Amino acid sequence: MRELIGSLLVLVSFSYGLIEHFDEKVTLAPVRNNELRVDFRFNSDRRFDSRTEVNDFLTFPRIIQELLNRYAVHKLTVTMAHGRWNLDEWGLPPQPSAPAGAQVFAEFEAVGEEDADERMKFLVEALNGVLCTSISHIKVVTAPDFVVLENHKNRKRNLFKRYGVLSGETTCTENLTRLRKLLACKENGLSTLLHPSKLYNSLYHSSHLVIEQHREKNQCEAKMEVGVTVVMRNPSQKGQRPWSFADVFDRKLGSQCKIARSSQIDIIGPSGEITTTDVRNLTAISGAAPIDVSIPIAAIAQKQSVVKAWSSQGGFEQQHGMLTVHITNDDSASKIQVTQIIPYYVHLRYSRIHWKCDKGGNPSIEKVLKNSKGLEAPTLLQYKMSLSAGQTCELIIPFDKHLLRLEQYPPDANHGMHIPASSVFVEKSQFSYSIHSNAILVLLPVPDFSMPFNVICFVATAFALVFGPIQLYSTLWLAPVVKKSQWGRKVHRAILLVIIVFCLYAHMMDINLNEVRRGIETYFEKLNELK
Amino acid sequence: MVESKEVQTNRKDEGDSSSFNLLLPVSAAVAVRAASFAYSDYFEERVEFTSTVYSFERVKDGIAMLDDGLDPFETKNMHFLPLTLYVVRYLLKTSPVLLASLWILLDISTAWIAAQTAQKVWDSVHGRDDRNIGKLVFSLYAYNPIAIISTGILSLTVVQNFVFAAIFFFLVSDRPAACALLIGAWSSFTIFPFILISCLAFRSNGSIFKFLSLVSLSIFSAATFFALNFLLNGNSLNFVEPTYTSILKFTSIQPNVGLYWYFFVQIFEHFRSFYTNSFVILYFFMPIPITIMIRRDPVLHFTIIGLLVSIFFPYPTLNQVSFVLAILPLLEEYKKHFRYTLLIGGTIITTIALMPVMWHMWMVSSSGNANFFFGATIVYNVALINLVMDMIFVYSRRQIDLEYSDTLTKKTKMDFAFY
Amino acid sequence: MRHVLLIFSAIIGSQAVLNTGLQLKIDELFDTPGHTNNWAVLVCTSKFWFNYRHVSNVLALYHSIKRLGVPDSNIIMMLAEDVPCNSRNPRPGTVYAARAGANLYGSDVEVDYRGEEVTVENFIRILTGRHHPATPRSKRLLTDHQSNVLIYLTGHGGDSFMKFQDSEELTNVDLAYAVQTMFEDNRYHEMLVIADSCRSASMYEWIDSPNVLSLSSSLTHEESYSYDVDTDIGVYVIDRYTHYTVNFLNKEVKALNSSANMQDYIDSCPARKCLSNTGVRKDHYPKDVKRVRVTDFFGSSRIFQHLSEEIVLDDEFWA
Repeated sequence: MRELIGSLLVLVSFSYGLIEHFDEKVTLAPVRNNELRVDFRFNSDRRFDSRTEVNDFLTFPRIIQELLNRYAVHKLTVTMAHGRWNLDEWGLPPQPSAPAGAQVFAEFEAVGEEDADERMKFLVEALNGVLCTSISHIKVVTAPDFVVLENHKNRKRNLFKRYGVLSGETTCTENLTRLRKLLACKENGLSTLLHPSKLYNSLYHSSHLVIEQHREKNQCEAKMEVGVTVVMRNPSQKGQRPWSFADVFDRKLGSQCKIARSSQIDIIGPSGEITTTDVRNLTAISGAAPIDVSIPIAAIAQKQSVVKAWSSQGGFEQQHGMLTVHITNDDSASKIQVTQIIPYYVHLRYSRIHWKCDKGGNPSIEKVLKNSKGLEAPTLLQYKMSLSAGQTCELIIPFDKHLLRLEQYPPDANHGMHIPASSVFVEKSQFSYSIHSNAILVLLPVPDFSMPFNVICFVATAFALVFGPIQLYSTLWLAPVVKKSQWGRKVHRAILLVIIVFCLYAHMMDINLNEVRRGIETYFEKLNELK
Repeated sequence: MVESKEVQTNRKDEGDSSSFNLLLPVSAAVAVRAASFAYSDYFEERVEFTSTVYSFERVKDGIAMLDDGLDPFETKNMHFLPLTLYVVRYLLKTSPVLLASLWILLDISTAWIAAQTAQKVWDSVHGRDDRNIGKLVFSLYAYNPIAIISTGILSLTVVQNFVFAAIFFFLVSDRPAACALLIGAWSSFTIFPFILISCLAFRSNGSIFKFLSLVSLSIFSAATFFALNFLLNGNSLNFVEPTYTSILKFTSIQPNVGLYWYFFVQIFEHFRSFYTNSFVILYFFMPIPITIMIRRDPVLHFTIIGLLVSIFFPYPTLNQVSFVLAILPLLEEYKKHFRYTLLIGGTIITTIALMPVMWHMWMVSSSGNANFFFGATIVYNVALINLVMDMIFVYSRRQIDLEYSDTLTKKTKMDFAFY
Repeated sequence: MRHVLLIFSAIIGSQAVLNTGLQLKIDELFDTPGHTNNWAVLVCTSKFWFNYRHVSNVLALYHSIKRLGVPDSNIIMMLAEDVPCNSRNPRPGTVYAARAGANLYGSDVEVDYRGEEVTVENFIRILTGRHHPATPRSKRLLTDHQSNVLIYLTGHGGDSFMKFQDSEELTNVDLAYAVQTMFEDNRYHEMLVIADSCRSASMYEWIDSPNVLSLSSSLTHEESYSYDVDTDIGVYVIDRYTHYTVNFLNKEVKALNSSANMQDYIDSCPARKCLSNTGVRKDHYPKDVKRVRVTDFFGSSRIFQHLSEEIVLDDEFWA
């Protein structure tokens, strides 16, 4: 019955030129003994004729279409991640690669740079609404010249690009809930495996949302990809038994997504062979008879070698610091493009930035430094170079840590602030990918947060010290004393003394000024009552 | 209107320049400066000797950006004018050693000019006596460790002190036009020295027209430099915001030895513009009462205004006051009236010694917080302010001495009265 | 009697229930509510892991009012610390308010403001409705003159203030002004302000706007106390006042037609249980709290108001 309605809907929509598809896939690959990598990919696409565009949506989420249309977005990538991808053991990270925290890359149309900044602000807020994130205070950089993310490598003209990373952003259940709400099948199919109980008890988890829209004449194509990647460790220390769905997701697969075009489970064996199970072909699947799979525990024998990147911090005090990005090439020559965002709270020592490479010295390097407009705007450093096989290069960025205004500090300023991870885009002859290093936490010098009034008073006093005499000497005349009544001075001193005594008394007796006020109020209230 | 009884300057004195033997002190001063280059690593990042607008390391950042074909003024932290960047870049490209020797030459010339001018002032006031004030002033500047270190780290304050000395020289030797030109030029870099123009009131022979023409001359000079910067920057005005605006609005709040940095860290956002405006307006208003008050002593007036320029500049270094402190011996006749000499001297020395300690406690060992360093800087500034206050006092006190010297006894108390 | 009635009504149909004598009698005990929709602002102002209990306070109340029909879109939840996915949490992705309780952080929680977005400014903006135009709908309190609003604040407080994020304070005057602005903008019908913190009675003392009922977990000179500790998690998991509130809601207010009144609720945490005297402020609330249902604030029933007079909608309305 349901399928019938579905096909009927499809038929109806065909007449409008509307085609929508939904694909789901989960890939399970053991990456190391006892460690399992799980990749969910949900793809949704929608083709329609913009002339007869109707607000009919079959499987594609309407809110995404509205987002695409309202902000004229051509491509938007949002990633959220927690933990650090272990490049050594786990191989190539999921693409688009995600640094810890949140990352936004947007390509969209706008009238000018200022309009683009404004639009990006709205877009970020809209994303907050869609994804339940809190990235309003993301600091966005303007138009990176070199490639940052693999899926944004194609250069398009006339498009405005904005890129931002927020390293401190946490990602938790509520984000996953919102991502699930974008899927065509929320309550059945593979999305039921996206259950928070196990996913957040993991070594690494990242999720991304990529949406894009192409327009050719009147034919529009909108695409959405929702991906979740988790690397989890088997809690049972024995690790002899193969993994099952119950181990991985705390549940079995008890339903099918009937409207999906494809719905498959891929299991990658130790030698790289892929076992595919098409969920749609399984007939006997229900809540009572869920399916389960057996996942081998052995690690994949042949690991793909990848370029590695990591960041470290130097310096021992709170004034100067040094960020070093280490990049090690794999065993074949590759072209890399390095992107590093420097936030406003560190001051770049531009004359001291340099590269240090082993094996064959420094290759020729193209570089771009860009400052974004606006208050608290970050600086973008980008480099393009070729590395020979096995070469290690270090990008050394010395910086001064800035003292900030009181309200620019986060609530727990002593925790420090992040310098975002650098992104490395690797281009081989056959393929390309991007990786991220780790963010570093910089301890900034902090003022004393408890005493703004004292400082204001002290500095104002210093000013008074110079203006007092100037005023005095320019309006009065110094002269030998004849005789003068001391009464005024005595009364003045007495008043000062009384105030000081009261202050001391209040201090010693722990008198709360609010209580004093309350006391006075109740006294007056009593007086009123007596009347 | 404006009298200048006490400093009778005339050009005849110029011939007596080498009133003390120069060779030994100058070579010693050059030697210590050359030696200080060897230790520049220790000092080039010290907060006491560098600030956002004087640090040579930061000039190098700007030059590196120019070399890479970038616009240095896109970054909000580049507080140097295009002229500074291009001139230093040219010097660096030509020869770094030349730069070092130029800096030594400038610093020694500062000391020498100060000494010559001081001697001239002294001679005109006291006549020729045995005291070799020139030598004292020379030593005070040339062997001031702060000045030595600042030369060693190629601080831009060295150039500034040189200009300062030159202005003093031209002021004393009665060449107001040259003075106005220099003040204008210097103001085009850091704006704040413009109040030195009030010193020219003593050189206008009481004619308001002459004074105004001197002011316009210095504005013209500042405008010329501004135009030069504008042209050097490729006809773009984007250098104005990081340089001039940042000075007038105190936007850089990095620690220095000045008054404002911690204040503008802590101030509530709603009051920020109120305080920036008040501070700037009060500062530029200050020379008016002072000039009206101290009308009989151009040297004292110059000293006070020079101190104010140094105290209230938003991004000062310790070297900022070196020149003014060096010419203090010229105030010999007021000496007995200074009330807090020991207190002020002791405070300045103590706070300068404490600054690195407090800095270390805050920044390195984290055993103290920002208040420690701020405490040292504010006390240092209050000491300087007290010095200014005392100078104003001694002037008034001396006027009484001059007028009522016959009736005063030691026990006579002084107080203020309406005039 | 009641069972008989229920069966009877089930046969006749739901319409009949409203007309049965019992229901009418129950209704007579209460004033007719004047609101049509319910909103809630639930705020946890405390940062740091050891303030786990403040997050679970908010979540426990969130689940209770959601059970009573307030939809997610009408609940603005602010959590200052990411407790569920905190690396100190032995059970990642979960929050528990009791040792053997249910997970409060399942897959149906929507947090609107979290982490550094929980600021005094944002809180005031929510109340007054003065947002940056980019702010999404889910982060706005879109109330009107027929909304009953529940404002619940939990965190660390002192005399006359509530600490936000360990770095700034919401003073009672700020709160009073925000509520007054809401009143002037016609943004609420009735309001219930609950403050669960130490010395929380001071939070409402400046509120002078009409139709506001204010409750607090302790009087101005008192501290508030936490209820339960979970030794596995290693921190206190809920505060006393909220524990008894949620307990009351779960036991006495099982459904929207519950006959529990606000006085019952106010009495639900006596001093021997709460270890502090709860504060009540009724002087700006015209109704008798005994004649007000708890679900007027904690639930959301669809209440339709009938218009008896004729209304002409002019062009301005349709434009």
